[in-house]
Amino acid sequence: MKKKILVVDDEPDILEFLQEILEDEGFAVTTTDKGEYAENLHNGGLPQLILLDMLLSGKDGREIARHLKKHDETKHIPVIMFSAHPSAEEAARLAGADDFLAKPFEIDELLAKIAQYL
Amino acid sequence: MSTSARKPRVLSKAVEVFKSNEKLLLTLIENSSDALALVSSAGIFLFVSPQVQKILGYSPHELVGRRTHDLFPPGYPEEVVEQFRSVAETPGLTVTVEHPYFHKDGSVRWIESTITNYLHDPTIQTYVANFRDISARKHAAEQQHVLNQASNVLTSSLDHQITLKEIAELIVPTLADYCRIAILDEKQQIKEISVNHIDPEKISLVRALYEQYKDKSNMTHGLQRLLETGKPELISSVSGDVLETVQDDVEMLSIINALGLQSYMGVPLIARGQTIGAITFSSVQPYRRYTQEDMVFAGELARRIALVLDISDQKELERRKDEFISMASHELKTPVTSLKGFTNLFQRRLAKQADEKTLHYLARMDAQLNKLTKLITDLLDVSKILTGKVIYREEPFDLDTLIKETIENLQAATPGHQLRLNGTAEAQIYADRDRIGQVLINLITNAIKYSPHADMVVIHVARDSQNAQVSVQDFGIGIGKEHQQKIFERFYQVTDPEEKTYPGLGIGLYLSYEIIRRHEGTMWVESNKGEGSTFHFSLPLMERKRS
Repeated sequence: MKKKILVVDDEPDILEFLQEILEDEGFAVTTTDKGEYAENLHNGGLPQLILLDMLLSGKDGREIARHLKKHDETKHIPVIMFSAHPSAEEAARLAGADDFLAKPFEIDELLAKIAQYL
Repeated sequence: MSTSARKPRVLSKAVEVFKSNEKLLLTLIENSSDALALVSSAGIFLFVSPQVQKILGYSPHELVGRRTHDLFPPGYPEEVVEQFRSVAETPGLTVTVEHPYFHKDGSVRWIESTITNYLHDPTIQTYVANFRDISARKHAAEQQHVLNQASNVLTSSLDHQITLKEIAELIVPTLADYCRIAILDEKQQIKEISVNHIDPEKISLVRALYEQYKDKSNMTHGLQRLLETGKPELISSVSGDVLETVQDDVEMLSIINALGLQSYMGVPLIARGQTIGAITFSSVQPYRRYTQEDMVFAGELARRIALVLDISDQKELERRKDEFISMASHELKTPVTSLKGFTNLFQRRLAKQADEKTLHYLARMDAQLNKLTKLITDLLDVSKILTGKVIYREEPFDLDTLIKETIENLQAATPGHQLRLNGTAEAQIYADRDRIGQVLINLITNAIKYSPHADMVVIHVARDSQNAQVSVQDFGIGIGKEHQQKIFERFYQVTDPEEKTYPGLGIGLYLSYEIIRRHEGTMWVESNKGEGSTFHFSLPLMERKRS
């Protein structure tokens, strides 16, 4: 069984290269630019890890993280948060993110972080 | 006769002389610095000493027989009336009152009167008053008070509109009955105007009148004129002469009449040689006439207002600039993230096909993207430092380990220079480890960049009882003495027509300097042109910070 990763970002290019690279690495990847999608996950379709952008258009990634960590079905899912602000790590962790990556990042760095959780 | 017995006799004799000699008594009164007056129960001057002429311009015989009330200007302060009433109602009571009083020339003076009610004393049966002119003192105190209050208001808020309104409220009614503060925009149009009138109903009336005539360019007097010429204007008395010059100007006349304008002065607000606005004072009280001294005060007030407005304009501009840099940095990183992501994707796919040459180019692309990322991050850092948004995460760490790690990482990407480490600090530092690492990277990459013909950079580390010290020494182009003070300033670039240009944004050293400074450390440079540079920084040891 392939491990499922959900990627949430409002930049289509970022979703695309992450999908390609993560699929090459053998993950099943779902991408969305809608923050609401991540908030409406239900049993059966739950990913094993979520990559979440902090600044989504119309939605604060931290809200999504808080939502995920508040609900019993989703609170165990590791969340790695991205931001273009390197100093946003503290804010990300406060919102419940398990890990943080400053944009732009090295793919190797991202894969190493994912490997810690999966 | 004993000495002790003689004194009372002499004293009592003096009193006798005093009592019997009216001339002596008058001499005493006339040589007092105060004027003295006896006033009947009906408020009529019965006796006035000659000093009154110096104070009010009247000779004693011009006043005797007149009502004291005749000299009260209209609109008498309520609390003064109250004090006069209480002394009239209470036999034996003495009050000291500060009040305005007409001078013979029509101007108004501030008088301090000490009045005692002797109406009940059968041998006197009058009020006894002595009084002195305190106009200068009173006026200076009022002006100083307004200046002080204005300074407080000006420094407490950077929002023009609120600030100027508060200042207009300070001026009315103390120093004017009607006050306007106008601010110009970049196109020399009135951007905002704060108006205060002693009678709130008149504010809208006068606003409407000014609205009608504000676009007229042939003004001879007033705010519009002041804003155009930038020259102060004083009309002590709005009388026949002045009214004649505006008699064809129906609007101007209607304004003067609606206001009941008696006296006017206006001064420009000037910042760096530019008229940025103006402030006007108008009096509707016949006793308040502006003088050259008032103009000096108005000039000082205008100077303070202009200074603060100028500073807040500058700050607003800085704030917008910093916000822009912050936003731009963020916006730039998104495309770089995509570029880097696709580059990494290529690298990974091509690695499987073993296309060495393409892989080499992709690695170069990736290295350039990393440079671009660092530039953007530095810009973002500058904007954060300037807006005070940098959060330092301080923790204890071993300085030697950080230096060693940093040198190893940089050496891997630096084929041309050997990075040599000398000495150890053997010290714990309490600081933001990433930020101190950033300083080391900045100094070492600069050392490499500015020594293209050398093959070595030396990093010296040492400590004393108080501080750890790190020095980064290169053998490159060096820095002329004239630039050494300025290289730590933001956006400063050494430009030397003889030297080849070294591109960069001129922010690395500024950032490093600020980071060290925020950690209570110091940074400095030793260099001679052509002989390389050594950048030093010192940081307090953790033991010292803790104690």
